[in-house]
Amino acid sequence: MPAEQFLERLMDEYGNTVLRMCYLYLKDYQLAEDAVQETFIKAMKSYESFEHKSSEKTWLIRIAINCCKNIMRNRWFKIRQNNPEENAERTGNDSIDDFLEKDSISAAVMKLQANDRQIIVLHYYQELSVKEIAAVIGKTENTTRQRLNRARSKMRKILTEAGYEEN
Amino acid sequence: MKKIEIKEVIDRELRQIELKDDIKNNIRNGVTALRPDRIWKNIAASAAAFAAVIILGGTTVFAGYYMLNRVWVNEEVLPELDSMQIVQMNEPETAPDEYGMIYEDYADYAAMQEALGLEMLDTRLSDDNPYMLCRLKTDAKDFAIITVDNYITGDTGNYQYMEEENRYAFDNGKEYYTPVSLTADLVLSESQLDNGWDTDYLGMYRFAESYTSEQGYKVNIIEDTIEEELEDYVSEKAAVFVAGGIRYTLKGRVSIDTMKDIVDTMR
Repeated sequence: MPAEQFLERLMDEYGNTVLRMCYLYLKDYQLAEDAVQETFIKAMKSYESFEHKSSEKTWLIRIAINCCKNIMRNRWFKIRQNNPEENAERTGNDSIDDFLEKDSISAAVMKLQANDRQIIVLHYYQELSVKEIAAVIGKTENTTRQRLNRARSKMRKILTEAGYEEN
Repeated sequence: MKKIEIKEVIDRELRQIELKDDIKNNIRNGVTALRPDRIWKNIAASAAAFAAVIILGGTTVFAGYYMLNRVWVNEEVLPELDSMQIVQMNEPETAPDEYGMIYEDYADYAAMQEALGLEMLDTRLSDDNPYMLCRLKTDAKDFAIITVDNYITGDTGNYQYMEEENRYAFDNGKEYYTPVSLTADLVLSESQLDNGWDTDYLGMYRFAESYTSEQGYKVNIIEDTIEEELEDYVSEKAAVFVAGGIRYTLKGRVSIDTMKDIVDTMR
């Protein structure tokens, strides 16, 4: 398949979910857009040599998570996260946050700490297995399982407080 | 709430978040703005360990010099290593697959060298190690990539073979948080040598340092930054060097000093 067609398929198939994942992880729509752009560009740069040791989806998510982490490591990101109101004023783009209800699942995910948020998004939103998550975050399966359990407990607590019933 | 329901609910809640056309255009433009010699080309084959990507070149000239054996970390080009050279290798016994690629497993590193008629660097640290997983990937024409998982086990332990996944589970050690793996990149043809062989470490990597080993190899050390904020995090180090025209990469979660000691034992 020519590269141009491949890129179009990749964006059609994964574009929305990768963007939403980046948004949940970064808690910032504009940065999520930056991350998703970087993700697809990096993916195209390296796809020819992708060896299919993992699925295409896992490979792409790994790139996206790394892009998000790079953004989060940026000092500017930390300032931005610490001053959300100022940030909203500056960017004038808080419309995404407006439609998110306070007791939504997405809002609950975004209340978690970054590491917990990451693993919950990978497991529940991207529907990756523990093995796949371990490969994405570079941890052993045991560590990943422990982290997932911890994150799940925290998530459950937040959801219970928001009025969701345990199932 | 079940897993599938959570995904559906999130998709519903975030339905306004969609990859817009202007973002898609930015991506298209960003992709075409990349140097054409590193994308959009038919690459015979290469190896990738998720973010670590090897690019077998199809175009040689960039910025006035030949793109031979370059290692990149994100957008940073690392100090040049010694030159790769054409290596003579016996043809593997396995038949190529439908893409012309041959994959062959060997009992260990020594058996692989014997079968392929290669003389490669080795270390006493890998002596008496029954946990190696040694694999060759080659087109038997232009290139070959040899990987040896669990090449040096150090003080890791309790190895248990997981048959379905063809790998070992292990307990972390103190000096070796993980075993150290070995990858060797071999150029088999003149045309591959001309075309070059770049390696990209994308995403959570940084260049740590460049130095010359006891044996005189120019070595680049790259490390991951996945959990660098954690106090006790032992990052994965990759030591890349060329010896006898073959590019070796030792990779594992050990300290830089330990990695340098390992490189010094590669004879």
